[in-house]
Amino acid sequence: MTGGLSLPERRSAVAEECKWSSNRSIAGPSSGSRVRFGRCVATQRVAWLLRARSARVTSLLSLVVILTAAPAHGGQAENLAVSAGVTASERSPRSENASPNIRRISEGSDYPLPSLQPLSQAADTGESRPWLVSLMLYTLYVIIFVVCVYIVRHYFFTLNRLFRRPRQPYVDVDTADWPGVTVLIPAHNEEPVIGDILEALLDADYPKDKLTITPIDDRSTDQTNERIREFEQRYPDVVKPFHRSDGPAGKAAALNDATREVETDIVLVFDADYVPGRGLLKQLVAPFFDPEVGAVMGRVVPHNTDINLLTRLLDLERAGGYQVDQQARMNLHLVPQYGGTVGGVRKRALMSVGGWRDDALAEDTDATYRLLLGGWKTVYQNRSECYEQVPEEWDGRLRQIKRWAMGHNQATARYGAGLLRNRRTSFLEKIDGMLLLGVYTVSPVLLLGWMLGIVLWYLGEVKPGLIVILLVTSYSTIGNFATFYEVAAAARLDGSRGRIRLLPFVFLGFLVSLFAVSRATLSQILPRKRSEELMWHKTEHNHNHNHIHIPNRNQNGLRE
Amino acid sequence: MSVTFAAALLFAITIALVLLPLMPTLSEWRNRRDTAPLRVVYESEVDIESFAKSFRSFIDSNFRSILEECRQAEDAREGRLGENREYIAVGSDGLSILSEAERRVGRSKRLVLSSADLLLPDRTVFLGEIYAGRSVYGGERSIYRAILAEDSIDLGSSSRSLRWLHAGKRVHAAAGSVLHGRVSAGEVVNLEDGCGFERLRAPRIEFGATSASAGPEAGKEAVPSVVLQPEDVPHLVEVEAGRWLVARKLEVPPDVIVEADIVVTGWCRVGRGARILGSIKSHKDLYLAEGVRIEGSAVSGYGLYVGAGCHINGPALAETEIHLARGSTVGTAQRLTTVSGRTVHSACGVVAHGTVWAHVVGQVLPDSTEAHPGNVA
Repeated sequence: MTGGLSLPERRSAVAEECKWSSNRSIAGPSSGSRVRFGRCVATQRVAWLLRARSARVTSLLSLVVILTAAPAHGGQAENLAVSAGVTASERSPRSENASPNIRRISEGSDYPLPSLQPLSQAADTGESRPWLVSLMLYTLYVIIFVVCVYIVRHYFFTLNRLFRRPRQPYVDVDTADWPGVTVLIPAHNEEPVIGDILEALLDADYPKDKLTITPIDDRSTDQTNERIREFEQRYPDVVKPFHRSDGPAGKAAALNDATREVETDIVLVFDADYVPGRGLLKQLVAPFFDPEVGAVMGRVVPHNTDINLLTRLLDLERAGGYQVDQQARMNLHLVPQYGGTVGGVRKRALMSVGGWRDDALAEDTDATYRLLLGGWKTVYQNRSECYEQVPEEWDGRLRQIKRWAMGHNQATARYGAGLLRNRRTSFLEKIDGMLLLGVYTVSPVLLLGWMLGIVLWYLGEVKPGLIVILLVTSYSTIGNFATFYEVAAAARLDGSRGRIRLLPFVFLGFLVSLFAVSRATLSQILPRKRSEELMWHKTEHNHNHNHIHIPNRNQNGLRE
Repeated sequence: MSVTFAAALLFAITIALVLLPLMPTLSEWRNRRDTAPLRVVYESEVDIESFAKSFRSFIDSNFRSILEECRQAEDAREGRLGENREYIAVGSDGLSILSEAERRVGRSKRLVLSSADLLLPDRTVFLGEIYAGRSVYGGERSIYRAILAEDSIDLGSSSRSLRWLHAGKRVHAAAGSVLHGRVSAGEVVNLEDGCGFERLRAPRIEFGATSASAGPEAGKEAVPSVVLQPEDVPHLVEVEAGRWLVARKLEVPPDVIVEADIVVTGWCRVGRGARILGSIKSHKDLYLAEGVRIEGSAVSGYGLYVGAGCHINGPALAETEIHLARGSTVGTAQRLTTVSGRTVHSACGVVAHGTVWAHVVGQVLPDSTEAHPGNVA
């Protein structure tokens, strides 16, 4: 012990101090400002408990202790400065000016209670702040700026979708000399669903002599291989499977190997649990008549929306992400994103930028940015819709969004600087490309902003305006690519008015995403084994719900 | 009032105030009124003949026997289908399809069905669909909701169609007609000068009277022999994957061959007689001078101005306007393709194979009007 008092004596001193301080205000000797110091008993109990901790943890938590002791009403709070993380012997000379009452508490304990100093004097007299406080303050400014940029972006996209004509320059191309196309279907243990997508593709309205369907069986341990062989025997001219038994695992690696064998310039990619409509292939191929287009992305529509609240929320989020976010970027000639399924790439464009990368955590984002850096455009086709199954369990959802976040972060590290220097992309594409890359870093940044805002407020850097701005913008930007007004606008554009009532629940989903994405981002900072990255990341589906009901058709085969 | 009760009341009121705005949310969550997945398009929405197919199906299921009876009896039959759907079915040419009242007001709301040819009067509005087992001959200045003819449709001058027209073989609209919606034919669509249109589809689409001079014949110019090399292209950013990426602007010299796709981030002019073996895209206006031939597609982020006698083999797409000058062709009989822009202005003597889609308005310019505003060298 260093305080010179025994435990009962210190408790007594604390009780005295609290009794005294609960009835009066304390005037700092040098500032004259008032420091109301309440709830001392609890504070000191916590502080006492912290004695056994290491010095670093103790110092950090002591900050929290002081925060809990501070008044709840910001308007009445006077400025307090905390030399957090600094032991008594390391305190700056300024701490000598702290209130004698506060000093008494510190001195009465061997717990290194941080010194408190009214900062109003510093603020009033123009005296410089402690560097740590200044650092936190300016970090908060930067965070607020970043968050405001994203909110402007989201508002701009939403208003664009609500009031501007959608740009769909290729949707009219229904008559053409259609090029040869290969449809790749990466599959790993997809026995229950592989037959459905093969049937759907064989029924597609695309010249059969121009169509090759290549299911990629990557070391499946179920009956996927046998199911594929059945189709190969029935349609040998169209179904040409690709089997993998070695090499790195994962969708990107599977695509990479299969794409090398593809003989056509246009390659479409569908996950095995999707069921494309008859006209979808032509719609996805049409943009490739534009020689600048390197990739195309269609719209993904959740099918299993009626399972539970999560699936309904994901339906709303997907709508915002595609109907508003992707289409707005298409409208504004920005950077629509290739999403890895219900889309396609131009093989020679992809090969010119290095093909699929085996080590990409999100091969779709990776391909989007390498094509962009190579001067190839990605096109979004809002009318090219295809059903998907969204995760029905929160665990699956968390895994999914973590993988997306890590893929984006990886792409940011790889291509962010290159994008800014790239001469093949326009200024607006650079800006939007960076914002799209950073969309998942908003979550940890936002958490940091919240923490800084609270800490600075208790430190006496009372900037209610900043806090209000941060809170308001946080409300609007947390989540990934579908914020509230985007979701609302998407529901309106889709004509689905009932589900819009679930919008408050979306906040819940976004909060979950916020922490999941933050955790994923932090995990990337830590070293990981390579084997953890190269694996099949699959969204678990309930196959009982997997059979997608195709809307009724009339006698002409038209949708009723 | 006890303190406990007051506290409980305050708590209850607070909870109620918090939950009140969430009532619609909780209601939707509990009652699950809107849980169905969004409808996706399984068939191609852009199938121009879908309305005609649906109508033919409707005729087959409701009127096929009636039409057969009328044809054998060479007579007309009037009736009502459902509550408000009146019809008249005729079994031979020359029978009147308008009642006295309809003739007096110049308007008919009935379905008009015929197992033979239909000869329709002038200055009459047909608000019901029209079906003919053979051909439909429309009068002048008449208005039609929709027509399906198994053989041909021939509209008089200054006619209008409101929704769609489809003929098994040929659709012809005389000068000054305006065809809203979809027009399709199994063989030929021919629009005379001054016609307006939105969406056309046929293996052969002719703009201007068939007697109009065609101008320079597309693709028949001397084949250039000089190959343009990348090093001769100013502002070239890179040559990669068979594509030239050019910054700002590009002027392709006359009478050269380009053996690549071209992407220009500004405007682009292709000189007279040049030949692009790939496709060409410009972010801004794209001008094709007389006699240019493009083997692939021509895509413009703004306007596409196609000079006289040009030929584009693949799709011709522009995000604003397309001007097609006399004698230009798009696609071939063997390689149908698409022309699409917000506005399409075509001179007489232009031929397109496949689909022509003007999102806002399409127009066949009078024979004396120059459709190519670009001053192209």
